[in-house]
Amino acid sequence: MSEMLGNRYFIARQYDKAIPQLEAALTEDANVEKVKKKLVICYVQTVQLEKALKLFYEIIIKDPHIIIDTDFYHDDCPCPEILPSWEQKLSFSETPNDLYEVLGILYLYCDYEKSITYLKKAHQVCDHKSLLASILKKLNTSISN
Amino acid sequence: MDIIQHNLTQDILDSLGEGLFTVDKDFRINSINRAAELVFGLKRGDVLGDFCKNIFKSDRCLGDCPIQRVLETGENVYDLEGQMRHTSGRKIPVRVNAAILKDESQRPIGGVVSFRDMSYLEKYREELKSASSFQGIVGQHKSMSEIFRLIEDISESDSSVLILGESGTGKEMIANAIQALSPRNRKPYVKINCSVFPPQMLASELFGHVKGAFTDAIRERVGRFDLANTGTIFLDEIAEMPLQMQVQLLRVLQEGTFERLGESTTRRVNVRVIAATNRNIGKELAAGNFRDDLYYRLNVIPIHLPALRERRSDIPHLVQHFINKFSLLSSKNIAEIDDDAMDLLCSYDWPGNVRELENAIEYSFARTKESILRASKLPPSIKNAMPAQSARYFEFETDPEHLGQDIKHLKTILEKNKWNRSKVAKELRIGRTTLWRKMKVLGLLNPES
Repeated sequence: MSEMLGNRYFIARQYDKAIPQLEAALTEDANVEKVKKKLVICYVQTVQLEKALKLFYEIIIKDPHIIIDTDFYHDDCPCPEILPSWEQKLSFSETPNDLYEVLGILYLYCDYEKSITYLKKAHQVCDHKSLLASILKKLNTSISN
Repeated sequence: MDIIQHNLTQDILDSLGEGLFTVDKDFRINSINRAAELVFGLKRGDVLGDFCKNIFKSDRCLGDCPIQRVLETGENVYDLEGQMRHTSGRKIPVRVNAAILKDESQRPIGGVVSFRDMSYLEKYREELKSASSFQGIVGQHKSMSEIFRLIEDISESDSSVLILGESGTGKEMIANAIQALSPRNRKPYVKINCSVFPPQMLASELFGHVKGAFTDAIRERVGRFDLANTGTIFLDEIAEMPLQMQVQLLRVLQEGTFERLGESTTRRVNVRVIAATNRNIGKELAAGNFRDDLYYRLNVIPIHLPALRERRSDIPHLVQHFINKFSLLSSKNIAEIDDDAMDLLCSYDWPGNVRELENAIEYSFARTKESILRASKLPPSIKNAMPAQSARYFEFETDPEHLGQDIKHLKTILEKNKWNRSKVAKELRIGRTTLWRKMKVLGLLNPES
């Protein structure tokens, strides 16, 4: 049942329920990029940022366009719904390190420029400097090509 | 799938009366049939490839999706009620079935959803709520209005109610109305007909039993009183209850306690009791078939339902109500009834009361192919009952002292109109059949007729 049920929970925005289903789908077929794309968002929404960044990195290294080319309607991407609340948190947070990461990841699904801005900020202050540096480098290369 | 196979499948889907669509494992629509297009005002080309939630906007899309339910439980879904949206934004009530489509390895690759448009049922519900009805009970006669007022007056009460009335007068509908207006209306509502169980079974039904309580008690059973706890129980045909059981029922009413069969543990419940009978309860008391103490416990709020022949002025309203009901349910476009048929219905004695009237209209519906119900399509029992059973319908016939005056009056009008029955019926504002029956009863049919 994994992938289809995971998709259903994702559509219903039940991210915590979607995670085990989508993870199980990945164990059956590790190359299902659309499952990984959803899983990144699920991890972010359930504040499992280490896992989110790791999977995000995996996708970017393979092909950044998997995420950049997302169409919010045709891919049922929830980012337009969830980004405002994350951005709102910025104004209340004194140490927004993790928020930069979250916004950098989520914005790549719908606004490349903003994503780069936040990923650069995250790179300056976060613990995952080498991972973020690799992501930024890959994105830069991919877009210039 | 090749083109021929695809077209064949689409033809099969389009031939179905039920709406149907299928989705892939991402919940994108990959086929939809003609009935679904018609119900929701859709065009196939516009919806294929889109997410089903974007198209149907059902109240279940973000929660209890039927396909999700099948995925979670492994069981197909049948007759799940819900609402989906027409392209105009109008909500359409539907009943949904759902199943999962699997590949050779039994992995889900999609789902199929079929549904029935239940708008007609909503119309019927609205009809039931119309001005001439009370909680779905049609009645404008004074006796019924008084009952409706009584039900409203006792709506806050928890007292026992005893409903008395002939078979078919609508005792269960009255019980339903009492329950619906009571503070317990969201609590369990359990109904039991006391006449359909042998004594041992009735005790088990009402109070439950433990495993081994009697030969066939192979497992524990929860009784209806347990199920009705905090709510209401409707005991129909209460006068059929054996005397021994009446003692047990009395104890529940007095103390709220009972024991399951084969068990010594005393259980306590809080149940409001509504009872009904079509028997003459006075006679049953006199004959010792019904206990006085139970009667007085139950008869806190008595409701006497009149027979239909005692409220004949309600017959036209009931007839129209049933015509509306069967029009919606049968999809036949029958909206009215001719004068002769109405005369027959109004003059018949209705020993089976409202239930018999409903059956008569249903029978006539089944036989009618035009847009009006005619007397010729009524059940033979009603057509053949005239005029003997219908005699009491005419006011002048119940009053023998005025019979002579009536004959004289009708004869004068007949002569004035040269015995033209159509003209006389028009002048008297009655149907021609009614006039014919009056003439027959009064001995005014001339030999040529």
